Amino acid sequence: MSGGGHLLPPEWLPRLERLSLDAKRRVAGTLQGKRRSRRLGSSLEFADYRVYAPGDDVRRFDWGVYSRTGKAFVRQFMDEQELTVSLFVDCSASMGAVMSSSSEPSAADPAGTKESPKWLLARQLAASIGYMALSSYDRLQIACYSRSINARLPIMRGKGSAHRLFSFLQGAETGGEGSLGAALAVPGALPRQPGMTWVFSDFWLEGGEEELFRALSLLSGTGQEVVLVHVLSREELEPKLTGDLRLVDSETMSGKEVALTGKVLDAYKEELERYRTMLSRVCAERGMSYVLIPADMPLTDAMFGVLAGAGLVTG
Amino acid sequence: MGIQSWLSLWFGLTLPAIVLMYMFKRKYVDTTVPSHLLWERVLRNLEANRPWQKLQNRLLLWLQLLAAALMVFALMQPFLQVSGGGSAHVVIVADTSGSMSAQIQPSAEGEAATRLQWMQERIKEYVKNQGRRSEITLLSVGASPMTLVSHESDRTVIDKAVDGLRPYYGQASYRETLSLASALTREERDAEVVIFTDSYWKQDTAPITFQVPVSVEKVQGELPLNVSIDQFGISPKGETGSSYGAVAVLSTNAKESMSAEVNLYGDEQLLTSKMLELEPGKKSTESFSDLPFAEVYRLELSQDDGYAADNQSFAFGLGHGSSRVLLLTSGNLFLEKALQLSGAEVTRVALDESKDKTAEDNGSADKEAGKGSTAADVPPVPEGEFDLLVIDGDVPEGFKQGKWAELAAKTPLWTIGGEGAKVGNQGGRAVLSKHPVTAYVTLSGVYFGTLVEQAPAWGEPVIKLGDQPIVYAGSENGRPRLSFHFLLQDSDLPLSPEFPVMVSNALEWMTSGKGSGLGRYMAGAQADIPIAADTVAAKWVPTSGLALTGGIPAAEALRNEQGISPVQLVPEYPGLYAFEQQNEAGENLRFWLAVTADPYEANWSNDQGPVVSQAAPNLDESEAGEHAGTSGSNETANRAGSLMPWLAVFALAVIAAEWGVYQRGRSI
Repeated sequence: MSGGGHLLPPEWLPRLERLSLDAKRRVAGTLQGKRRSRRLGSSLEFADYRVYAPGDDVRRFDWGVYSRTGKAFVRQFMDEQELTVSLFVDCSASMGAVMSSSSEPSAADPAGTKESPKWLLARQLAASIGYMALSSYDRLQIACYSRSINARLPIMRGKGSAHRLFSFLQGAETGGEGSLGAALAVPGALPRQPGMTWVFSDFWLEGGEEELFRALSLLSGTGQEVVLVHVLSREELEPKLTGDLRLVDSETMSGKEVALTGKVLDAYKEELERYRTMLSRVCAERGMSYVLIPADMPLTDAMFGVLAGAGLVTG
Repeated sequence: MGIQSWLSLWFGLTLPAIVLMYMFKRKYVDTTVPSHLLWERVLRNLEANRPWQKLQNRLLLWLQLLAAALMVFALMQPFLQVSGGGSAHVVIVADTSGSMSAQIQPSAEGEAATRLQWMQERIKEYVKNQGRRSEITLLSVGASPMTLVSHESDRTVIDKAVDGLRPYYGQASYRETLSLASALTREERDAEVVIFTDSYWKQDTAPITFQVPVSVEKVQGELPLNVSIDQFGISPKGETGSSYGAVAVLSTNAKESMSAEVNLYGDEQLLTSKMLELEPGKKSTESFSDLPFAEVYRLELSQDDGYAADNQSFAFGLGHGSSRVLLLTSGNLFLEKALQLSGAEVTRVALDESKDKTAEDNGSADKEAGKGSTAADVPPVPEGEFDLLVIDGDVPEGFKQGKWAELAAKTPLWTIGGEGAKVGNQGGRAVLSKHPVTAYVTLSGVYFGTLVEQAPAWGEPVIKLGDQPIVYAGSENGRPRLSFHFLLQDSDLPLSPEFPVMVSNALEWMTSGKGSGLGRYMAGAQADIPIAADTVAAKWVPTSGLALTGGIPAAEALRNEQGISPVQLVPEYPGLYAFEQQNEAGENLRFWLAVTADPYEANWSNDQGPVVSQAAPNLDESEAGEHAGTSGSNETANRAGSLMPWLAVFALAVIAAEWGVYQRGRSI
């Protein structure tokens, strides 16, 4: 847990253990988990009685009923299965980019290696959701993507894998152009089993709405319950830029000259609002969840305020 | 407000240059943003209307343009006509010289007005607008500068003074008036001088320097047509003086030849009328002959022209052809002959004979009573008017009283010898002063024996023998007097060939004022007027010409301690005047006097405004042209009139604001 100390505060983990992911659908896994499956299985939860047929597990034979009624019944129980939780963390350059002016290099971080709060929060959230999944015996897979899947971990189970999860996230690096649609279209990228998919990203999709449609279609095609976590830094939400600027895209490194005035900033905010509305609408149309979390929001607020408020996390 | 240097407007090209620089300017601060996605969408609209879009919302550009415009404006050396509300004291110089009475072309209303009337309107307008908060001093150009109002702020008084402006036809004191205006404003800080003029000023080489802003307002109008009578004279032609001839010289300022009709009046009776052809730039001489005698002749242009002051001219007929001289002598053939030779009718009264005669008549034995010791000895005054009284030798006592004294008082008097201590000739050469009597005379080699020591108060010595004055000439009560301080018998002067010349000179000089016409004087000049001894009142009465038509009231004559002054200022309006003297008995004695305008005022070929310069460097535009040679106009003006300091302060403020913009790095 050496790396996890950085990403998530240690006292945060017990709180996470008391939480669980609230998947709306019954899940079907291959291994037993804590999730109630649609199928009958071997949990302790009673489901139904069934007339004994030869070959049934004699351990399930209900001797009590047989002694009173003489009829052979077997008790059936609900099958409790694990949930497959897939985490996709956007690690394109935009996630790590800090809005900076070349004319005024940050004194605290002259090399420009200052970590973006957006990237930090995205990983913290991913780690929290992942830990919650692990601690509730769900199957967890995690992947970092930019244009394709950059890195991924094999499917993990149990809290013992938390260390791997944390160190994976700890070591993840940003870079390259990001494209959710392209990354998910790569063979093998999509989760094989239905489950819950979380995408942590700033959703600066070059392809715009079209790309989002495609990505969401791919995910819903595999029976995923998708949660889009939109993480935006404060500068992106309310830019404080002024003067004559050449805006350089962190991913494409192409410049755009603009004389920033109050009018331009107002236009930007208007455009941002429109973009968020679009994301939210697209998700709602597909029965998916969309939340916006500003990067400067404390983790607790994000977890208990936003995610719990959206019904995605229950205590 | 005005601009002194329009040339600097060329610097205005810097303004579009700045705009161009902005349009081609590429200086953006690189700023990393996570994604262009939204910015691109935002800018798509803004970039649609390039490049003018760039110019919008650029405070820095506008500030720089403003600063540059201010600098260009400053280079143009603007100034504010501070007369509008600035100067506390405005000195208005009104040119009221004769040329201001010229008619200018009728205005739109069809009302013909003189330049002076126009100027009055302009001055009133000026006082009402530019000088509404100023104290006004109004100067006009007369024989000497006239201060009509001084430091006046009551508008009605000023308007009244302006309305009271009249043309002055005499020799106008242009330079003196400007000098006074300059002196009035010398010590004042917040004053200015405005000169209203038709700009026909006498050539003046040295400019009058002012310490305060000075401007020239031209009141000129179109050049009017003028026909002027330059000369007009009368001379007797016949032996008996029954026939007279007249000569007139006329000229015009018309561009082409024209004809003018002149009428000649004698004592207001039309004598003759002539049509004259006048060539431009030439003087036309016309003579009239066989004119009857008249006291006053008047030559008049039959039609009006632009300048009325020279449309009439007067001349005076001589009562008779030759001078009449009353000679009181005990017998002096040389003198009598010399007078007769000079054309005088000599009436001789023999002093000795008269004494004998009276003695015989009375049968008195009192022969020892002395010459003229009683009135009874004195012969009666001969009948008729005399132009000159010559007393040769001692004057008998009887001739100093009664009718003789009256005659002596009103007739030019020439005394030879006379009373006084007899002194010997101390030798020495004859020294002659310049005087009509001494013309063509040298007196070299003439011997003088005994002299009479006498120093009359009425005249100056014109001939001295070394230090001893021997001939005095002057005037007493306005009449010429001549006194020889030696008896002709005690000198060999009568034998000299110069004697008749001298007598002729003396006769001519002493009878020049004969007749009732005193001659022709320029307006406002001084004239010696013969004042009768018993005169109690005298006045100038306009009788003809511009003076009469102009409605000039009769003016009282000047007085001094002794009564009516023999030295009078002639009236200022051209025309014919009668100088009427009244004695106690109520009898009137009148002399004619013609007043003419300064001929310079009719000469409008010289359009040369007043030459003024300002000591303070900000030279006014109106005289900048006329006075191109004046240096020092490029120095920084620090007077109230200049806008330069204000512009500099404003430009600095703009630059300061610009600095703020630079520091913040904002567009707006």
